[in-house]
Amino acid sequence: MYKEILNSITNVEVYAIIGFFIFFTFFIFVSVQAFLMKKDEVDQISNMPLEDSIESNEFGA
Amino acid sequence: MELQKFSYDNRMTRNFAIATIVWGVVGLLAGLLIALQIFIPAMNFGLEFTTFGRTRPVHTNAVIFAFVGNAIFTAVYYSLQRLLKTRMYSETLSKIHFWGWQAIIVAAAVTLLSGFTVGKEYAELEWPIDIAITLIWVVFGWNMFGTILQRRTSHIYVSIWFYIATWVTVAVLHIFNSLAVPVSFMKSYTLYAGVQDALVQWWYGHNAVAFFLTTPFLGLMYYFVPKVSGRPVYSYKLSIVHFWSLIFLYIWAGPHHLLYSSLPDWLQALGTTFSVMLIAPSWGGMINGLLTLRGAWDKVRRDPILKMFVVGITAYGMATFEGPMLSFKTVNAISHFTDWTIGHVHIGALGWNGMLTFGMIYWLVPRLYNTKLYSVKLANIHFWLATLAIVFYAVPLYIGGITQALMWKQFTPDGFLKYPNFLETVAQLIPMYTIRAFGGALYLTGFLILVFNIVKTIQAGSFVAEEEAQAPALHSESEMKTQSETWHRFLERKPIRFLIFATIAILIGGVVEVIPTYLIKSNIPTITSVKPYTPLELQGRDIYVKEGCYNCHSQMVRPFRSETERYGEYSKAGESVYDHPFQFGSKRTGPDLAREGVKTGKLYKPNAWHYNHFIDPQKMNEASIMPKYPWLAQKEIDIQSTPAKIRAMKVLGVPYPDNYEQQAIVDLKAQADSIAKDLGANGIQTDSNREIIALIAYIQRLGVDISNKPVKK
Repeated sequence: MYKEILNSITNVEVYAIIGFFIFFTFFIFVSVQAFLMKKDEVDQISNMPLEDSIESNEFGA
Repeated sequence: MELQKFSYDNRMTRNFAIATIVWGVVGLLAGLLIALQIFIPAMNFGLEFTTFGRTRPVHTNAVIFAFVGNAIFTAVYYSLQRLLKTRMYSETLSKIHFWGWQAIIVAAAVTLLSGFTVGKEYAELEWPIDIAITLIWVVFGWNMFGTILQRRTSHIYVSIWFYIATWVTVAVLHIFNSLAVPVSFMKSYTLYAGVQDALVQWWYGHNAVAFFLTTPFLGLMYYFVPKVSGRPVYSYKLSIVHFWSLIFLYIWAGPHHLLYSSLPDWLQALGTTFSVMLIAPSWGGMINGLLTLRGAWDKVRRDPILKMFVVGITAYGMATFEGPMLSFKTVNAISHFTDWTIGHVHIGALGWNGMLTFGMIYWLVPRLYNTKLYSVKLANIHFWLATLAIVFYAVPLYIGGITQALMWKQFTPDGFLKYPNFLETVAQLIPMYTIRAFGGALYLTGFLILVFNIVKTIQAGSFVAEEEAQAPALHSESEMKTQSETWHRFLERKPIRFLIFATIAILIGGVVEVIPTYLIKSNIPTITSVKPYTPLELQGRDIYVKEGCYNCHSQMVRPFRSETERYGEYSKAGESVYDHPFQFGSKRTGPDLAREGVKTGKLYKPNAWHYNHFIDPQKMNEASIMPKYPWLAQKEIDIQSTPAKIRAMKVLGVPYPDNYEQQAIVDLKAQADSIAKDLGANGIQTDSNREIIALIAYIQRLGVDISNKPVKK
């Protein structure tokens, strides 16, 4: 019953495996990049949303 | 360092926030209407403009592009200025963006109800509106990048990466999925056909979820959760990893909407693989959002805004776990075409998009109006109503979806379908639909409480149109990557390069999946007995699309014994090569129609049955939930449009004979006369120029070709 669909291409698993490897390489690269960031830099950047003129307080100014 | 004085423009933020609320009411009302229509046929009111096939796209478009769309712009126009310490680039562009988007929404609602549709889910709008969307999207991007380029901060915060990825990906998706050949003003045929159209459509459709409902809201989350809780994001490093992984992976996942369809198997395998991998970055985002609240849980207890954020982010986590599970072929075999999918998307829509939007509005409006929220108690009531509503909405659909799927697949010990009558399975759903509608009504009630609360808040405050601010000017920076900075740190201060890399990341998946499907001929095996539609069938198909039949009927028999027993031979890729657009559908509220016309088939009905059934389905089957279509017997076929339609089809490569355009009208009339004559012989007197005749011709053609002469090349 699945013949027509499965026959449309041979070794279909290879696409999933190649796809995974492309992603995995990319993922490792980005992870290393993120890991190498300096802590003070990260802290400074993380605080950006909190540096507005409006202070965070509950239910309005 | 000298401080520069400037001011933030709050007008556009305010406008988009109000538009969000207004369209929220419209979208939820439309949702409640269709939730009732699906089990009370009388709620269709017997009018073409208010029938489910047209109101359902109004609901989806209103909620996605009007409600969520305006919420996105509210968040962008507020956070962009503050994160970059600058004013929006151009007030004129802001105004064009705002009013242009609202005009598009109004045009969408009017044209969808009038029956102007391309027939592709979440991309229904006809070509002039598609062009308008493109132009307004460019204006939005221009304004956003203008703002980024005149910033006073070196670094571009993570929220803005998500906005950039949203902008570029939505542009790519919208343009490629909307490519079409216009037949006339407000009528076009999509460029792609059949399986290829399905692939492009779900590449678009799935990534509309990804890049319209997810990435901009992650941007919103990364700004507003820290803002409201007063704590920085849990892990900035995690946000980098999860941003790139998410945008890279998401674009590949579209084919999971076409599992067991006639899409080539290698594509289905890719769709599943990438969908499963998507759990990781999605949960990275969820964890980062939730853990931002670490040490602030006492605030969560008191603050309805943070409660909404917690439920919203949790719903995101649940939906993004469920999504990959639904992408497994074994699970999908059960879930697909049922209400399970509807339950799944509403966990995302009501939970993630709804709750985050509500929280943002409750936080933002008092600040824009320099006052306090009118009633925290009412906001709390809204929170509980909305949370309960999600449960009442989703749980019955899960139960109903699984029940119906199992009934479809149930065989007797003798090997026959246990429930051969589709309506038997529908009857089980009626109580579930009733509870779902109750859930929807609860959610709407909660939202109306928000409207009251916000109106009262606005009345009590005074609008701060210009918010004074000051920041040091941006000192000039190295054009090149410096020794001390990492590659990503460098990228974060170079927005255009960032845009280019994000574009590459999102294009890889699309290119790998879409292009081979076009270039490799073996992907779509041709079937010589499959011929183009006759002119009358083509007109009938346009009526099928116009009435939105695909919202409830699929045309895709999957290769399961339970389906071939019920409907007939499973669908082949080569059968839909002239289908501009494809009409595989995504939901079986009614039975599949792919083999409806096969005379020896399981479902075959004579012309007279179809005529009576269209006029009054409940007369033929008391338990039927299909709307009545009496106007089809009144309205005349637009015969004069036939030559233009044939011409457009020829441009698309459909092999009609040379100079067939004029002959087409003659052929159309002859076929219509023969159907009218057959109806007359069965006691139904009708003119042959009625829309119902064309629709019957199309229905009787469905699935016929391969049973004629199955010769394969």
